[in-house]
Amino acid sequence: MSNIQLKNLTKKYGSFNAVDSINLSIKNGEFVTLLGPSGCGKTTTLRMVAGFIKPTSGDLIIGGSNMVGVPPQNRKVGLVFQNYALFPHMSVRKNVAFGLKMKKMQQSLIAEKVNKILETVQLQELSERMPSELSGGQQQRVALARALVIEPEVLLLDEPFGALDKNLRDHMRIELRDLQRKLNISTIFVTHDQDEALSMSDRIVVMENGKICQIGSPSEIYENPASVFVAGFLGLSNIFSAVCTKIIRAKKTIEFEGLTIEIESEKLNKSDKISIMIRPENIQIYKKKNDSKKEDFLGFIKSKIYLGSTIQYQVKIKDGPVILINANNSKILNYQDFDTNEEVRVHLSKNAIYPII
Amino acid sequence: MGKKLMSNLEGYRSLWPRRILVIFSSLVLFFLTAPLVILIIQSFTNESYLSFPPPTYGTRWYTEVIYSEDWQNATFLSLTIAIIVTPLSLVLGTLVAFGLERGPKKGKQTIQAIMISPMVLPHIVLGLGLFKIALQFNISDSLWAFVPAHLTITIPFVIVTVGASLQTFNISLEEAARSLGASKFWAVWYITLPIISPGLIAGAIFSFIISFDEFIITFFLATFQRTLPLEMFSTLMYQVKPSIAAVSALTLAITAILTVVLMFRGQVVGGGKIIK
Repeated sequence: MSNIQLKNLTKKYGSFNAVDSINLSIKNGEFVTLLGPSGCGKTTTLRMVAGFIKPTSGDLIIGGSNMVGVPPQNRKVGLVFQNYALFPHMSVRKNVAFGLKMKKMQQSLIAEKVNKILETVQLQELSERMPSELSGGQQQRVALARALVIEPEVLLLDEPFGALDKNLRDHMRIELRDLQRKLNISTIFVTHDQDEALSMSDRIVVMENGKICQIGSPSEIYENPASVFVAGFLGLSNIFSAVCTKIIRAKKTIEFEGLTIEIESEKLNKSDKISIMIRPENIQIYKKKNDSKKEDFLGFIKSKIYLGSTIQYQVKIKDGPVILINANNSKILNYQDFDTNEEVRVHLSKNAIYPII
Repeated sequence: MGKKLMSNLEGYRSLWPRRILVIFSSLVLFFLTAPLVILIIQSFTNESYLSFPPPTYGTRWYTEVIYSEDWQNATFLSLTIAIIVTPLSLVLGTLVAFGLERGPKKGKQTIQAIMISPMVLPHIVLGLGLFKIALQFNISDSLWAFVPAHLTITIPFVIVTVGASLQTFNISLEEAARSLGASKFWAVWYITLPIISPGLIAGAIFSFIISFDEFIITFFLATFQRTLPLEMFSTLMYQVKPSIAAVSALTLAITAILTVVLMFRGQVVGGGKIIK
């Protein structure tokens, strides 16, 4: 039994399909991320779930009942805005109590619930402060507490980390996910940040032009992207057009950019034109002097970017393409450093090459 | 040596424009306030005629004005009108401002221009038009004429001040309230209105001051009834007594107090406490 269902949900503005017939089921307690570039329809989808945008067609089921036409105040939806939207003229306590006050709950019960949620987000000491007297992270916790105290069926998060600096963002990510797990609340999270999507989600929904490109766990999406767009949007990747030139049972030979390589794939047929994706971290480079393996390619370091935990090289393969490689910068694994223009060997294992069919 | 000369030169250059600015500003300030200052000083004369500076000082004319039935009636009428006009103007103007801000964008500019046109329209023209209408409905020389007439010139100020506040209002605050269970009405009541209160207060004070000071339009509509500005005018027609100076000073005081409140509220609220 799924908690939230989007069935053929569509929003049209004139002839423009902002959201084009999307289907999605979210289980109880699941954390689902809508990921995509701006204009892909993720925010429109979220606002339809919240009730601020009326769908052109389709159904939206929350907790067993159809919510189309139900105004936002009757939807049992907790919403955290990008800018938090804290009420500037109310203290933290009054902000959090607002939803309960609207439900005409007893004063004593309100106080009890507010205290409990403020404790959960560790804001008891700041309860009498005004929002303008809080840091970004604290403001976000208030927004979260305010959305959660009404015990919604679903928590909606609209790019809630956009206004935080990087360290705080990483910290709040973990904090939010822990809280979400503890309360076991179904969550829809909207972001354009792939790191946030990968690190927080049970499932990621990648969207483009109002349509869903792929739904899957972070590892599925990252390792087995369904399209070139998904592959390109999540993480760094080398993407090439390739042709299958030879088949011996499951062993297929493909050619791309002047290189020939053998991979294993069930689906591929001869003369198929496909795209292949190679993640930069799945390519190894070695010093040229080491014993050459026959299947390795020769090349030279075109550029080098130091990123701390990894070093990113652009390697021009001889008679082949320029390829992006992320080398581990760990000093305890077989660490090697390369200089710009140094000649290297590039090892492309067949497991590293993922055909997008 | 060269350096010192340079710094001297710089000092010379930066000082004079500032001095000229100070002198010029002082002259403007003097020009604007001198008539009022002279009037206020004159109002404290003990003589039966206006002169500057007064030979003797006292509050004789203030006492006379405060105990005069004519002035009392006029003040009472002006206050009555202003007290009725202010809330009506605030409610109607706020509704228009919401409509303009939240309604369809098409035609918004035109409607807004028409709505606030009484601000720039000659009041003589407006007064003449309203006079015709008042005659038609047989309501001239009554509150039924004064209040709507004043509303036509006060509402535009509310539209402008509330409209400006609404423009900077972050609509997601209202959406947040709605997702927390508030209906549209209560979201506006609990969230939007308190946050745009600087605009509401400004609109209300403008409405009050403008209605209280209004002369031209009221002049067209009144026959026997006299508001404070009308009473001042008719007194001046017959004689120039120091009482007129006393009344002017009192009117000035009321207006000034309200204006100070307005500026203070605007600054305190606009300065970051409420508007972030």
